[in-house]
Amino acid sequence: MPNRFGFPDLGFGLGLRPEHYDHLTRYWPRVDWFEVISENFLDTGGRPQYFLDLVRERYPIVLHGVSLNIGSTDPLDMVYLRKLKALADRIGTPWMGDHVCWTGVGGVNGHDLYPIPYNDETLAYLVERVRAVQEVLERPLVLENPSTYATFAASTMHEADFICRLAESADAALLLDVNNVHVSCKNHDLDPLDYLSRIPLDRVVQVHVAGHSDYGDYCIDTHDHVVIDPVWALYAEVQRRAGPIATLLEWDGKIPELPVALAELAKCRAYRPPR
Amino acid sequence: MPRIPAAQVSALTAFQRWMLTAVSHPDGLDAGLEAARVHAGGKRLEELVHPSARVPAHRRLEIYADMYFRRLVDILLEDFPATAHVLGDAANSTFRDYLVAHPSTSRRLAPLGQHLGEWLANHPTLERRGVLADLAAFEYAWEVAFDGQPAAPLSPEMFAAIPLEAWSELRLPVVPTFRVLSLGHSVHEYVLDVRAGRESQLPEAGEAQVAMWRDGYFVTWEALGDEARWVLEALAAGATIGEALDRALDAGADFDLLAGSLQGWFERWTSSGLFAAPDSPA
Repeated sequence: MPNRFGFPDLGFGLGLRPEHYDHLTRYWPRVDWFEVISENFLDTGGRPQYFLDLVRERYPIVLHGVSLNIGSTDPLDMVYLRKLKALADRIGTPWMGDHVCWTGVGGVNGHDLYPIPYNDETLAYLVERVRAVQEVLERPLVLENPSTYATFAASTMHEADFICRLAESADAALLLDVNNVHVSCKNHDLDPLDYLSRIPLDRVVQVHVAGHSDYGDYCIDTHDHVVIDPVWALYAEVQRRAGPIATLLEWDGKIPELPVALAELAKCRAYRPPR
Repeated sequence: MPRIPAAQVSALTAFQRWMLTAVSHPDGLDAGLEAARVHAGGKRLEELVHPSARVPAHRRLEIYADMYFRRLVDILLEDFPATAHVLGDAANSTFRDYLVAHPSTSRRLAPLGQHLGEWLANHPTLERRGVLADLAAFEYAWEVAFDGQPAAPLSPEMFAAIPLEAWSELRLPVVPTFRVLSLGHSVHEYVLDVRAGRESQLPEAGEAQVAMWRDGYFVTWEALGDEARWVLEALAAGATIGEALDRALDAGADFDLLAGSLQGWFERWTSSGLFAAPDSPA
């Protein structure tokens, strides 16, 4: 199922991390694409930019943000958005995204992905915010489902329904993080397959897979382990239902040598349906 | 701006302020919930956050509280290793106190420690706060230089090609990352030792001027005597070499020292990328 935005299936990618710069620029291994944390490449003219330019000569780069703060009631930060657009234009990112969450309020950034109460009022608010951001960025925003650890009394709808309605109302694309689906469903006693069935797969332009930490009664999205089988099963289900989608392995904590991360990434290929 | 009824935005704002206040309190979630009551509209935690089948509401919110300081303190530990080394066991709690006074207001993490030096200098009880403040100032300047805008450097060959008679009227712009730090301790060697994992002695108090800039993609620095500092600061302000020397002499520079050092200084500064090439964006 091709996505409705016409964004390409980039294949299998990896998060670009400084720990891998040496290996990467020495061996230029086979990776289809890289994803970078947008904020790490804003307002920097040093080594990060140098490596970004080196890498983008050889691989597609996709921007993925963590501080858009789309769910906050703070005003949209136009300076930040313009810088983001300039970076996107400069590196030619095929698409760019961030999370359905808020990261701070009152000018303070908690640098975390805080959940939103999922109801009609916040939905209407976010739809207008996403539209406004897309106007500045001059491209569809790719919205990712976050890992969450709490649900609120003010929520009146399923997280997946909220994200679905948000994407459809604002005409945004989706980044489906199947590890986050697993984590949030475990934390909120939800059925991950039911979660998947609520997602409009024709809007999904990218999938994340990652490892997490399981504390028994709850999970935390730590990105510091290999991907576990139930997450691979969700990934396989998405592939089965939607066909090939650009896929990225996230590994941000206890970062292993690049060949180890690449070996984990290679597992994705086993779940790839024939084109 | 979104055209949503103000009351609804206001309710969401109150909710977000409640949650952020609760999860970012240095004394833990219970203290945070107490501080956040003003935003809760008279509601208890259990009326705002649902439990899961296995995890009560309090614990669920506490996951965010646990992560707030851990994540940000880890950033400071990474960006300020020498400062943290001197703080020792007190590093975590000191950085936590700093974050209470100066929470992040940036979308990026790099500016997180921008006030740390000043905050340490004014700390009411901390021992060795003078040297700690200098360490933090030096380490933050390192971060700033690391991220600063690039400029093509004036190469030693380009410099050598400048005829001697042109020196006096020559302007040599410094690279954009250049700055001079005025410190109360010569902390630069100590920082380098800690970052390299070597044993080192904390420097005694004593004024130090350190020039810092980025040579290519590597941060570098040089301890300056008064004469070199006067010359460099004048050049950085846009003076010609002749004007810079005049300013140094006016400030009290020793003529013989200047005359004897000049060539060596400029050769060294040029070979370490301190000056921008004439057509550089600097």
